[in-house]
Amino acid sequence: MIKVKELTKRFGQVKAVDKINFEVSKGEVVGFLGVNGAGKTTTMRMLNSYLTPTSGSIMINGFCTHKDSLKARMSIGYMPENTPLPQDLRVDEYLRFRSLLKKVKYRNIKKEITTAIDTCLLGDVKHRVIGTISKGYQQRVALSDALLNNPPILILDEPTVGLDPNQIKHIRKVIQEIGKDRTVLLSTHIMQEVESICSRIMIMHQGKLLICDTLQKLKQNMGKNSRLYISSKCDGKSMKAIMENIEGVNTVYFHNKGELQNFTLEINEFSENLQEEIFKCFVENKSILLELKKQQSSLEDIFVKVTNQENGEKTEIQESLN
Amino acid sequence: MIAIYAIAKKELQSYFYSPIAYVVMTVFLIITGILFNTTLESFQSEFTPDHEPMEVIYGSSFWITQLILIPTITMRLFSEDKRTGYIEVLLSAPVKDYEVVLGKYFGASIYYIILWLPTWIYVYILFQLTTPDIGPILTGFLGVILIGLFFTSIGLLASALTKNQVISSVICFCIIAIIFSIGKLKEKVENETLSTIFQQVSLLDHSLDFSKGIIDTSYIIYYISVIVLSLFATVRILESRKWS
Repeated sequence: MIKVKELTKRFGQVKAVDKINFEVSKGEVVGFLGVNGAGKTTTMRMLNSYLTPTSGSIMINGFCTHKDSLKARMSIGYMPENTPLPQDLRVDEYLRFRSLLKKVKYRNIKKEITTAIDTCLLGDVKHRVIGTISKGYQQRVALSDALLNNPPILILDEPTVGLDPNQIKHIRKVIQEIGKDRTVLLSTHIMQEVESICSRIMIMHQGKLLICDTLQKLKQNMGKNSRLYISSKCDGKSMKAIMENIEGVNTVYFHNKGELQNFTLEINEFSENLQEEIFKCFVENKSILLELKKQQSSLEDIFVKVTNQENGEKTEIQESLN
Repeated sequence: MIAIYAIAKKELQSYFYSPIAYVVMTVFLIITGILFNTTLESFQSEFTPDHEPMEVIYGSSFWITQLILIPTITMRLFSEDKRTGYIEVLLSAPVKDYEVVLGKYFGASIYYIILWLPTWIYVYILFQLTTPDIGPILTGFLGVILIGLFFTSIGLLASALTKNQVISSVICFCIIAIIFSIGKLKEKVENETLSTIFQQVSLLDHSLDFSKGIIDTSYIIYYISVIVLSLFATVRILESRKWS
């Protein structure tokens, strides 16, 4: 559906996108992550033919965005960030205008608009002027516009920014629903969103594509150095020393919390054997083990880790992400 | 073609949904109303002027209305879209850049023509009072439309240059002012070729000629050339986002 080869975009001396390669196939919902200024929006603008690449090629639904730009654009529904919309038109008028631009067949226009309005729950405001409806509704108008003419590929740039929790839930459901038979490329800063709806993740940093993998694999790879959390009633210091000797345990952090002695163990790889070992230690020392659980490394950890690794040291932005 | 129609219609809708259309129309009608009133008064005086009554609105005072109307009509065409970022949405739809430019141009031009239609009320009043010569009125109106379309294309070009509506309207205002007044320079320069160029480029005499009943094809060719050139330049400016 989307094939990107050696894509590069320069703005003067600045390389906004640097030789990235990726493919997205049908029925995939791909999360596109990166800190601000990583090159996500520039990449998306090249995908929808708004900008032309300095070098490299993009195939959208089999059409080259350079040679067959119109056909490529016919296959894309695009929703930009901040949802710029003409403020003085009514919602249904705007959608009608967009249907005409998107070359929806005349007899299908009404049907297309009704479907888009129903999907995005815009029924209440369809006759209202866009400038007078709330940001959440405007966001949905932009999404319904992207859905017009049933494009096989949807490119959404931060679609849930500024929505209330209910609306976010609804939009995510809509995207998941769409993603079943279409391709969705979704840029966002909300990790939770990516975890809940995306099947694959791409992380961009300083114009380069660092990671392009499924969430599961990412967690497996990145989560090798995972952590165990232990809550217990024991002599903290001696238990710390004992556990440090167990094979596979790298570091033990110990912290008191009233009567409870809590430990965080950095381990090489999680296994049941290790859990057993630890359990046995506690039994042998006649200590009480209250809780023993694995701390899953979240996508946020992965994101911070990947973008930090690339920088070598923490930048201000990443510090704030922590 | 459908895209051009859709964009032109949307632009026209935008004019009438926002207060701009009504404010501009009101100011315009006040100005032309005053002009018409003074003209009628001058005809009632002892020294009857030697020109046609509508010549004032369509000819000698035409430049005043142009200076106010055109920048206000055209300033937002591209500037607004560039400022809000809507231009990206517009151009990511399967439309060609020239379709967007033509659509916006036609939308603004139609609005301009609509603005001038109420001046036919003055013509109607004239016909109630006397029997004016319809020929010069018609050619005068033709001149108004042609020169208006000429300046609209320049205004469109100015709005494609910047995100800022004020800057865009100032650029447009200056170009209109220069084109109208450049003819005055012909007496100041000694070089004959330069003087002829200034005279040919200036539009002040053109509107007078039209309102006297003269249709000069060289004028029309001049307008069409500038319109095509401006629209072409606008398309190129839009395309410039893709240049690297």
